[in-house]
Amino acid sequence: MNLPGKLPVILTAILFMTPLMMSIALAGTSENQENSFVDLDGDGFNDNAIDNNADGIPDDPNEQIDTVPSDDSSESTGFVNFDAGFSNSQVTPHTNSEKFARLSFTTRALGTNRGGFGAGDDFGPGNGIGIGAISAGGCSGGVCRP
Amino acid sequence: MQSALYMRLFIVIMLFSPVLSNANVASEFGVNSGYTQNLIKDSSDIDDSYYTMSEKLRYHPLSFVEFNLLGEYTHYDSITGLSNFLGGGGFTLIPTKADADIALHISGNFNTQRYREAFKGFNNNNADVSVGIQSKFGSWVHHRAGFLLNSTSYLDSKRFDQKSYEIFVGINVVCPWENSLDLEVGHGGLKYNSIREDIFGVLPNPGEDELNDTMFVERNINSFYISPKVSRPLGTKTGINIAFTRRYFADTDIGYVFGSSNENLSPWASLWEGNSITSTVKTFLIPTFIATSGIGYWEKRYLKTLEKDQYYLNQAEARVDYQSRFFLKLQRPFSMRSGYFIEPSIYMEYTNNESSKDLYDYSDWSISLGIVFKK
Repeated sequence: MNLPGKLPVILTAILFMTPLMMSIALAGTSENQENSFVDLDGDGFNDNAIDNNADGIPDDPNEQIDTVPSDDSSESTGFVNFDAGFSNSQVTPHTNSEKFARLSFTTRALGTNRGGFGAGDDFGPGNGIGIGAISAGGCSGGVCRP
Repeated sequence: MQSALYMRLFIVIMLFSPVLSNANVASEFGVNSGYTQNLIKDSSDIDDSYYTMSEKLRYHPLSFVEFNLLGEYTHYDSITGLSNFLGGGGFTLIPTKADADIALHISGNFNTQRYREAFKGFNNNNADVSVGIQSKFGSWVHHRAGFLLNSTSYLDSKRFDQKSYEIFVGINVVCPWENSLDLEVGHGGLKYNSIREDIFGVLPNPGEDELNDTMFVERNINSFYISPKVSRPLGTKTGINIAFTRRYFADTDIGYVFGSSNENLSPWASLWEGNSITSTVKTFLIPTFIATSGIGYWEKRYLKTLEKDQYYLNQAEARVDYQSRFFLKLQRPFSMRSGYFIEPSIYMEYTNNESSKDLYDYSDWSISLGIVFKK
């Protein structure tokens, strides 16, 4: 069964108009946006959870974590994990790589579009190693895309 | 030939070694070894083991610019001809501030993939350029839109080349009780080469060796999709999502293509319309481990295909598959104070596929072990 041809156009218009109307409704409100719940990568977790050591596991706020030293110390490791998926905003970036990782976090929702030609089945995280192996995913028609 | 490929990889890495000690360079190296019970993913049930080595360098000359290089080699034990080298590079620009309400993302990538002699027909170059914009309205509404151009060219024959464009828009809304609703719609256009019906309507399938480019005509696919997704936490250490995707081709007069039993290597493997529903659970309940599991179901309708054992075009039909998949992944990350990151992982997946064509009735399970080093 095919959907009506005009339905995507209508939905696109709604998607463009809805944020505009919401921004008008929200004008003047003030919230601490850094600590608000948001889940743009769709894994069910708050993207703003703190992950100071960038291991992909959010820090437990009830535990005294031996975290990566803050920018006030001279012991900053400079490690950035582009795949961590959580904010580690307690560490102020020093190097260009750290600053770029922070910028990448702001565009995390712009990953592969779910229904695109190159998305394949968009299922399963693979093992994060390589895009050329068939079982690692990301390949279709002999063409492997990052 | 294999040693020459390794030497090229080594030379490329050594050329960049003076910058590896630079704080503005990030390096990722991974090794993976696995076994699959059905490598080709058809009724032939050919099993094989393999390993992959991958190296990626990211260089940030400025805080909003990234250049990257990728080199990767995959080796298969039984079907050694499938072993291949993939190399490429790209750039990413994010010329907006981290605390701005609008984020802009521009990227370009180029990859080249080379197989061994037996599969050299799949040697290809792939290039893409994308622009995306993401904005937030308050703290609970995020909007995104993107545009992508992609070109795939096979070096041995142009008849499988594909050029496509895609546009998409999406909105993510945080609902009460930490539920998130994400809705995405998109459109894509793809040019490909279809079998000429005026020739093959009366002549039998000559076989691949007798084909020439005059037997093909360029056609277009217009694809539309809609995909809602819901996600939420379960407690403090588990998250879950459910996603539905409906993709359909607006053209009612889609052409014909030649089939291939090399499922994942078929140029038409990703060109299907239909429905899918998937669900993924991610949990940190096991201390210091990341466990992820998922299930999914797909109904796929492919292009009209003239298979190798079919001789006349009126025998070609659109293959329909009903596929179920399950995966489980376990990761153990180690983040060192020295700045090194090491993560071993194990990954398992099971697939069951029922098809309108007996050739594609199959099941497959695979397991792989890997380790990643990052600095």
